[in-house]
Amino acid sequence: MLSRLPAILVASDGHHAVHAPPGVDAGVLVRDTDLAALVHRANSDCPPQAVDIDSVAGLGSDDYAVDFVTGRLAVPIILTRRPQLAARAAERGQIGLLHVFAYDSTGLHRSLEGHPLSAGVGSVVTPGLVILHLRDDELAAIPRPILAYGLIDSVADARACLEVADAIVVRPGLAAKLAAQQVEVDTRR
Amino acid sequence: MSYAPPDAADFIARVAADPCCAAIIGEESLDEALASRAPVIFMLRGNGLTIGHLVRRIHAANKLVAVHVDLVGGLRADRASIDWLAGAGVDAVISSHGQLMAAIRHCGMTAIHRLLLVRRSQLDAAVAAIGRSAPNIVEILPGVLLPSVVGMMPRFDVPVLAGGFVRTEADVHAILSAGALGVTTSTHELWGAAGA
Repeated sequence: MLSRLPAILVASDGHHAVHAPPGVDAGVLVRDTDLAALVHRANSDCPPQAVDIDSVAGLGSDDYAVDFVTGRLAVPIILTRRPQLAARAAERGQIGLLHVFAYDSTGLHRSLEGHPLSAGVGSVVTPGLVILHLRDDELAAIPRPILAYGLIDSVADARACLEVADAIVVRPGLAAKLAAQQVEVDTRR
Repeated sequence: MSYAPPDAADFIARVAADPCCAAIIGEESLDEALASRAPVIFMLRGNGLTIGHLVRRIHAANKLVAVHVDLVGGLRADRASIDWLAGAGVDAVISSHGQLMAAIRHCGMTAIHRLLLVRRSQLDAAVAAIGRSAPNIVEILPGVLLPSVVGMMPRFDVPVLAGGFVRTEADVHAILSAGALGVTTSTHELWGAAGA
């Protein structure tokens, strides 16, 4: 069975326990950490659903690393700058998300030139908030699923980005606000 | 007599008077940029080794030229390439490499440090790097986000340019209202817009 991408990924440094808030479709993304912390977190009561594999100190950038993270650590979503690693995750039935850098239109096009365009490989649009400013043709050119990552800092921005992207990365505090609002909406119903 | 670029204060004054600068990635857009009111032409691609004739055309149109040393072809972003661009008559150099700012200033050109907005947790480190590099101008990408993130950032001691996905006059006004000196844009219709 193919893995699925939660709508909200809550960013964590792996050194502190971060739980996805209840009431929303959410998981935890570990980034900017080290290998020992990643392993510890994967074996804890709040294992990550996603790892930004290039930002894990001590972890290589090769197939062995992808196999270890998706296999031994059972993390189903891999974020990476390396097309071959994203493709490897997809080959293993998981989700590989390739960083696509959207600082300007020329850079976006160049970034997409390296995309493997294979099944199961989606995109991490960086910075995520810029997705609100992309034209329809630019959005259509970005392989899905699309994860918007970076500078999404308010409930309004998060909701707007979710209208365009398949998923977003937010800080724990914003995830809690989104969850609280969702509970409120559900209660009114 | 060799060309002497304007000092940074003059460069900044030119942009302040006409805040929409032309960003081009090849010679095909140069004629239109030269015919516009844009005060500065930012060359973001092309061949850095044969740039001299383009610089002369730009100066002949009474405009200034800024070159992105990290992105143009044929050059490595180091001190020798900064000397090369100075020799070609370039007025300003853009780079994400903070350590080049001093060399750019030393050559009499305006030093523009490009800051990429990635995510909030990396802003402090980026801002600290700019504090160390002491550029004349900071260029923020994607510029269209400046109005959204200006509250997250400390005030810089130098003027800010914003580039990236700046496509409408509304974008320009929002960016200028957020405190930017000007914008760099590849949208031809905006070149020279919002001038004094």
